[in-house]
Amino acid sequence: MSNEKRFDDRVKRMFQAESVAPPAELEERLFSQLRPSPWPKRLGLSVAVVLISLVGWQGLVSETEGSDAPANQESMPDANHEVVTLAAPERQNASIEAVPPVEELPLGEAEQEFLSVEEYDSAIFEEKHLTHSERKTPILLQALDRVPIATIVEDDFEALELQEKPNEWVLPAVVKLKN
Amino acid sequence: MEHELIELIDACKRGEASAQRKVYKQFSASLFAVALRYTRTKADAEDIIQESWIKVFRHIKSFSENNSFSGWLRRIVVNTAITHYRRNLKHGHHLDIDEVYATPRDFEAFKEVEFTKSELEHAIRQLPPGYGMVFQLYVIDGFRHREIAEQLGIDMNTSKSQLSRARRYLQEVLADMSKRAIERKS
Repeated sequence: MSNEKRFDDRVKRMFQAESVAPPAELEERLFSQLRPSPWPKRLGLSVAVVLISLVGWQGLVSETEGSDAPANQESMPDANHEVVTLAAPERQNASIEAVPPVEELPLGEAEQEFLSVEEYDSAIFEEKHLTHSERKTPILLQALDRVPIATIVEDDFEALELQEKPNEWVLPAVVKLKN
Repeated sequence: MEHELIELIDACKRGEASAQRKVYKQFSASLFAVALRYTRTKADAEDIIQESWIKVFRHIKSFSENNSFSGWLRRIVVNTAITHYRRNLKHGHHLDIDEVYATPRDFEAFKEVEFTKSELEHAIRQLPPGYGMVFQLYVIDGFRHREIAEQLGIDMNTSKSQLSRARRYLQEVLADMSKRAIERKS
């Protein structure tokens, strides 16, 4: 047997019958902890658990309802609503169809100053008879400005330009004179 | 196992308080001694023993009558003490045995040294906590190095070297005690 083993055995033998009485209060402390709790305590615990569950459940429900509340919808910007409605392709088409042609748009008070198609034609006719200096006056330009875009035909512009530029003959700049 | 003890254990398994009291009275002293060995204070030992008894009565259904009941109880106390030790280890600073004492002594000379149990207990308490744990687990409570390493979260070689150093240290301390006792007598 090795020296170490001998020492270990000697030590082990010393602790084989070890015994120390624990304090008396330790027993009572232990068994009071092990004893099942009396019914009022149990009942109290059960009620507390039910109450906590109810409060938790109610909180959850109110939270869920809160997410559907109209107040929240009102607080949403209108732009979002439009985005949502426009996002549907059918509705988008319908809204395009519903837009009236530009000519049919009702004129406001400010737009009443604009020339009608007949007035515009007569203005063109008058313009033909104006002198060059008169043509430069902004009256007609202003009138054209006010005419709805749809009523201006591109051909009319070309015709107008032709009318404005009659053929001109330019003489040579140097003129030689004979004695 | 005695028939009476088997009946008591069965009654405990059924949750009978009177049987629990009887089992407690029968084993409390030996278990409290184990708890005291693994702790530095009586208060710590009381905490360990209370926690251990609660474990015993809560898990008594898992005890098989083919095993030693006192061994099972003892194992629960030791495991609880290990848990306490590991919990306290995080907060305390523990010296290495080399920092305390490390002069190997010839065992042949030590063989003649006489020492009492209380002297041995005193010497074990002087060991750095880790060494004391390894020594007690291996020598007194019959753990193997693999189990000690697992329980204490250390390497198996660390367990072996700590045991070896603890032995030498104890022999040295006990020899000194014996020497002083002889000097007093003479």
